[in-house]
Amino acid sequence: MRSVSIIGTGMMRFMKRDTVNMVDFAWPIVKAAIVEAGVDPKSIGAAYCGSAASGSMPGQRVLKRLGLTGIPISNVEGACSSSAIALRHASLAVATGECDVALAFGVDQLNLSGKTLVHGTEDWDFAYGLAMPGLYAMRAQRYMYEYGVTIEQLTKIAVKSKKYGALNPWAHFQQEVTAEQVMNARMVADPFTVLHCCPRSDGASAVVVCASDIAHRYSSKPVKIVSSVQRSGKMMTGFRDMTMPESTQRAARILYEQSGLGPEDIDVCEVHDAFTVNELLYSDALGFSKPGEAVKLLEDGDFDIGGRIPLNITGGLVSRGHPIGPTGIAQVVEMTHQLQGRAGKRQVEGAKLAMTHVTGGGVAGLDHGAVTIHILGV
Amino acid sequence: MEFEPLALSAGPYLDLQCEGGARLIGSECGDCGHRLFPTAAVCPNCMSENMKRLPLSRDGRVYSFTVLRQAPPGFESPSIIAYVDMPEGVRIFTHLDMQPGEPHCDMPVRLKPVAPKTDKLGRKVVQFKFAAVENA
Repeated sequence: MRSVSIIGTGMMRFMKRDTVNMVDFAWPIVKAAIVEAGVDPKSIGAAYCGSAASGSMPGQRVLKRLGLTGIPISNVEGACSSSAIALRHASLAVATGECDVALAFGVDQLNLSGKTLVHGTEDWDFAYGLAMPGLYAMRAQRYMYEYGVTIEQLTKIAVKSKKYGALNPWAHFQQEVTAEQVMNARMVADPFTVLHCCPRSDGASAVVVCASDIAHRYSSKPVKIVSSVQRSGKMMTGFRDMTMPESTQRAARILYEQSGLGPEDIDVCEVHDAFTVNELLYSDALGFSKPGEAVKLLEDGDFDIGGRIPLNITGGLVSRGHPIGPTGIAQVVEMTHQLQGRAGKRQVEGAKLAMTHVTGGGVAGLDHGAVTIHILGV
Repeated sequence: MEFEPLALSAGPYLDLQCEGGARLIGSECGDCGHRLFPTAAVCPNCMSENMKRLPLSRDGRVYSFTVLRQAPPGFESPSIIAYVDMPEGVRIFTHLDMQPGEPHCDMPVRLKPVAPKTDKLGRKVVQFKFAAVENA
């Protein structure tokens, strides 16, 4: 398998965009990634589009605007993991030698479709009245119960998220908040007020990848995909430990084994923080902390810029927003810019290795339907 | 009272006529012994289709819970929802017949059939909840 590098990125502010068709805001982002890569569009050998709520063939609908047709275009649906999976497949197309240059992008427009995830009608939990905020709230309740974590500590995650969101021009929410504002906001699912939850956003994100041995032809600072793992959650009908997402823990083990790296080697990380508690759950599962101890890292400032493992210092899903389809590649664009030293006010100095982690939920019996983790490096 | 399956491929999951009172019905694999709720035609552990009816105990324990302030369409807001662990080794997603502030993790609870409400699609939603043992 050939090594693969990212040579172009395209990203936009995630926000409510319900007055234009998604195709109209998506094509400029795809074009931006291609222009940044400096590749002849004709050299792109395959395209992968991650989308969860945009109907049939969003990839073709966006790419036809740019005349980028005729090549294999694959549409990937994996709930919140959709575009991360699209990137993985674009990378595999290059790694296996099917093509030298491939495109991956994500797009969704939840505020126009009026939908978030559509769950199966055969699915007991969702048919009987479960919703995603409720699922994560139950994870939070159990985590707080088992490890003595308080609502004040969870609130600190929301305050941190908004602090970094305020530094990020791509963030849906760019305003700092106080702990009091978080605690007094509208309750969604106890213990989460609305400021613990990601907003429903619209947007697009894109990357161009190529074989690492030709990457320097295009980019003065290509970012290598060091490792990429995708898994699904295991079907379990019994007493699952909801404080330890097994699919993330399992995928992380494989990732570390593959790359010869450990959690201590990662300089900056984006985890799937659709809700505040996720930073704790996934820090434990990715091995940044021992089970139940992530809150110590939070309290010690280790999740901040300058700390041991800056976590979601882009604002994460809670502040940058969560359009579902484009979220995975948005994380990758942010971390690519970190490694290229282009992250502005949210730059982690000297970052050499970055991790992106995104799950895709909403199937009863599986902790997550999908989990996709990438390690990027320079 | 007639109950229509809510989740489309689930078989009958509530039996009001069981000896000793209403029971939830799961499945047990006749080959490997794997158990699950609701009933299933095939075992997710060994793919056997030799699935037996498994009436579950009435008493369980709250694994976790939340108060969903804006429930999905067709459900009451707020909904108090929970995962309840049963002695048979299965976990059930359910509603709790309680007020906000009452439920806690590891709380003992008991099955309580409730009069179902009909949602806009004509489905009879929430046909059972779990309640504090003294209120069931």
